[in-house]
Amino acid sequence: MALLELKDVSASYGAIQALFNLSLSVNSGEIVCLIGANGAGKTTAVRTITGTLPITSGEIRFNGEQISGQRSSAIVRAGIACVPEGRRVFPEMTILENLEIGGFITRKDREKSQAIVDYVLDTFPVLKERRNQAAGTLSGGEQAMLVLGRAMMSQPKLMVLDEPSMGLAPVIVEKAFDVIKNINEQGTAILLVEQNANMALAISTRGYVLEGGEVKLEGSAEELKSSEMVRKLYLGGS
Amino acid sequence: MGMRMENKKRNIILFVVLVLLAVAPYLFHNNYQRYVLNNVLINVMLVIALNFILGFAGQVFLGTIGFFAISSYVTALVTTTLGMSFWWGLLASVVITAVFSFCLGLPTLKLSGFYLALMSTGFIVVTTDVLKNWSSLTNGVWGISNIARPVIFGHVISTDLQFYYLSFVMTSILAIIAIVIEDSRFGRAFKAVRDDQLAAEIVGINATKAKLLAFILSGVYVGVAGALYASFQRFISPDVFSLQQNSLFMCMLVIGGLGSVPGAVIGATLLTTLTEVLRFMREKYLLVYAVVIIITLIYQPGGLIVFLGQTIDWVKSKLTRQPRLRKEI
Ligand SMILES: Nc1ncnc2c1ncn2[C@@H]1O[C@H](COP(=O)(O)OP(=O)(O)OP(=O)(O)O)[C@@H](O)[C@H]1O
Ligand SMILES: [Mg+2]
Repeated sequence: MALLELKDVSASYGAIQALFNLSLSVNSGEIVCLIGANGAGKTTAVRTITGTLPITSGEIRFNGEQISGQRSSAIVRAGIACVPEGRRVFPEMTILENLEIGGFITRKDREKSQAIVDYVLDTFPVLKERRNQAAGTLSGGEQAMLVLGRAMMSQPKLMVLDEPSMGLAPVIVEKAFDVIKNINEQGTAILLVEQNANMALAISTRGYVLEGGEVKLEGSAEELKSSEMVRKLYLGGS
Repeated sequence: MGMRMENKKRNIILFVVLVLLAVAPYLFHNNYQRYVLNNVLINVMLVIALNFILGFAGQVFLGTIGFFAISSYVTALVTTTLGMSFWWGLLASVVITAVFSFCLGLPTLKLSGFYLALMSTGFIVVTTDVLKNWSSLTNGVWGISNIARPVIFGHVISTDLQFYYLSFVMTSILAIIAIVIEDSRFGRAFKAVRDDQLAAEIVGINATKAKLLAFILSGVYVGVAGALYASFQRFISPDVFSLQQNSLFMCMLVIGGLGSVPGAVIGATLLTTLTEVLRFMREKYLLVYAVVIIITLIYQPGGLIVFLGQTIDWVKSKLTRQPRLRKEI
């Protein structure tokens, strides 16, 4: 049984339909990527999973339970964490507070929370140095690190990342992807939304190509990398 | 919301301000001054209440005086029409005001910003209209007199000084509870919703619950303030609860420090006294407030509390640097 399963999910913004019968799944332990051009509907798909956009038809199951129609807070509690598009740190809170609030739902395991905070701060020394400063003062790249850490704090079974590499320098992208791989190796499944198909396919097991709100192509990372369409559209031709 | 302040510094400032309020009646001891001091404490509670909604949860609902009117009238009616004691009046005020506040919090789930502000003005106007026109219950514009004073162990709280200390105890408890809430999960949830509601939802905070909780807490605080006010004045009428008075609460919070409990206490204390000092200017005193607000927003949007915090840091740095200098010489 898949950990996350979207079955024929459609969603709209008012009169504009943005997703058409989207079906996809993520199994435990996997990294699955979702690639597509601007406006393809990637963020819309993320919103339906996190419960911030209601779906108009279809269903979303997580761990066997139906989560479509539930509140975001319930979905987080069920075990899905998200790095939203545009990051969205809490600008007035300190870096430490931003991390702590990521663990809002996990009151139980304080020791583990502390361990995650330590891991995040050790991995990103910039954050450690400035842990008592307002997160709004961080650079875009630093905020990206922080939000990745914040998502880890709820100790999720699945992490949904909406373009975590957007606007990052290549060295930092690599570091971010290392962290993502590391999170995955610790047992968290990952749904990775990316424009950077090259990097995404390099760490994914499987992938989906979205276009105009529909799945155009799906397969293993290897298959996608060698597909004509992906090469032309997302990997810079050749 | 401005800059951040460590908890320790915040607690010390709050403690010092409460100590000052505790000794105030002995520094200002004529009847008029003690009367004003009683109103200071009522306003402190009201501004802390406003801070839950506006400062912590970031919802621009500015209906404090409407809740205050409801709360005052509940205690007035319970102790006169129903002939029950002040304490029953207090309890009824707290419960009923919290319920009203909860109901008025419901629209925040859909509305925000400008529309919410507009709705609060409507709420105030409707409330005072009802109080003026529902004469069979409220005695209309003539108001209600002979509101009961509190009785503690058979002792009637009769003088302004006694009343002041009763209010002081309540104010202190409410202020301390407010900072305990600020540091709790709920406080963090409020601030997360204020900073970025979507991000708050994404980390698992139920923004609906958080906002409604802020409204309920605010209602409870206004409930206590209104009960004490009605009982202290012994007479209330609808014209006390004006839009103009309501805008003063906002001034107090912004000048003291939006989002800060000691800021709310300082703002309410200073501006309540300032209003008395400026009595000779009639309505024009609002002009002075307008200027002070503009200066605050330009030079220190965090309010006096931030300025105070920086001053403490500065003094501390002076004090700690001196010995080191001496050693070097
Ligand atoms: N809030 C909204 N209201 C109306 N239409 C929207 C809204 N958000 C997105 N859309 C539309 O839905 C479609 C899919 O948008 P979506 O944000 O999901 O794309 P995306 O694949 O995430 O693109 P990008 O790579 O640029 O982030 C687009 O046509 C977009 O214009
Ligand atoms: Mg997007």
